[in-house]
Amino acid sequence: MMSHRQDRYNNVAIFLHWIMAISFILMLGSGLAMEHLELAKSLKFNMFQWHKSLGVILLVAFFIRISWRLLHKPPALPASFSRMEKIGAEAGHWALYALMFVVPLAGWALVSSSVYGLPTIVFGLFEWPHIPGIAGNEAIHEISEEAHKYLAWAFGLTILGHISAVVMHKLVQNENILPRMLPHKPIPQIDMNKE
Amino acid sequence: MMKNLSLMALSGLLIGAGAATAFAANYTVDYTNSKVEFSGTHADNPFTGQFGEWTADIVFDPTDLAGSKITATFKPASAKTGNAMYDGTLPAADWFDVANHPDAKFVSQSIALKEGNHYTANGDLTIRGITKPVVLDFTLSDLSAPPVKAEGTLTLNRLDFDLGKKSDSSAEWVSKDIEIKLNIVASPAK
Repeated sequence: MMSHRQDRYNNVAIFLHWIMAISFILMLGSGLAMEHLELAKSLKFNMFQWHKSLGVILLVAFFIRISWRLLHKPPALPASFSRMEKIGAEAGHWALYALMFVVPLAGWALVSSSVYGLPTIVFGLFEWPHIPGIAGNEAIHEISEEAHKYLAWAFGLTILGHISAVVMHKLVQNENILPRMLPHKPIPQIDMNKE
Repeated sequence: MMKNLSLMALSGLLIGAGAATAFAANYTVDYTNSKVEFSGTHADNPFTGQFGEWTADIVFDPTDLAGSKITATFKPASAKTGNAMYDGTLPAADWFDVANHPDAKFVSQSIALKEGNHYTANGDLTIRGITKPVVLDFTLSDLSAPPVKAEGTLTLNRLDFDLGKKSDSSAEWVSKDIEIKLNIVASPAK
């Protein structure tokens, strides 16, 4: 079955989706590695800096993505979806948006309140400021550290749910919804010059 | 032993009297050709930095070590490693805390000849308002051929001065030992 143009997200949304999806996996993976693996110190330190760098880029990317989402109507969910599935999909997507904002925000807060006071120099290129006024604040540090950890877990699980939903729709209902989010050639435009 | 000491003292006096013109006691530092470096390791990687702003008052006469004195004041805020990550952290409250402690200081209490041109200065180092005794080892080039080059090293335990006490009190990231290296060029004051 060929998908029609209105069944798909637009290319900007698709680009943001996949580039951020890859980034989130890298972030979750590096977060788990730094927390649970015995890494060489210099590798661990560099991983922290790299994680912070990508984190602030993702925080900025969130605003671009959410603006794009609010300004562009997403394709309607397939008609085959039940009412509950539609509500679930809608809720799941908004949970993902919320988490892609609060996880890096908590990370920024924990770095800003850390006694280390280490600056965030995005990939060694420019300095991203700390949240002012909370440097060395142990209470904020503790809360934001816990929040970053548990929200990241929630994010990882929600992403798993998101992927599972695609797989389930294919397996159970034999409906492939993946092409909605796959790159596609734009439908040939009407040649305006012929007017 | 006593005899030796008194002989040494006597010869010291004699040399001191005779050499008063040969060895001027006050030295003027040539700051452009001198440097004060610090080094240590972070995450197992070595780092080196320099203090950009410092001044030293040097009164030195090998024949009158008791009357010799080295006083140095340096600005922790001028400590630079060239690594933006470190340079952004060094002035912070848990490290040099430059907002509350803009100056650090070394004052020698006694200088002793170790051998040849090798001396040791026992002194007090003050960083973050905390004063601890330290030992500065240094060698001097020929004093009769100024400018005199002095090379010195001093190793301090950063935790003695509460440097990084909250961030890294177990020296997991930043080495406990920090080496200060001095390369001083000075000439007798005219």
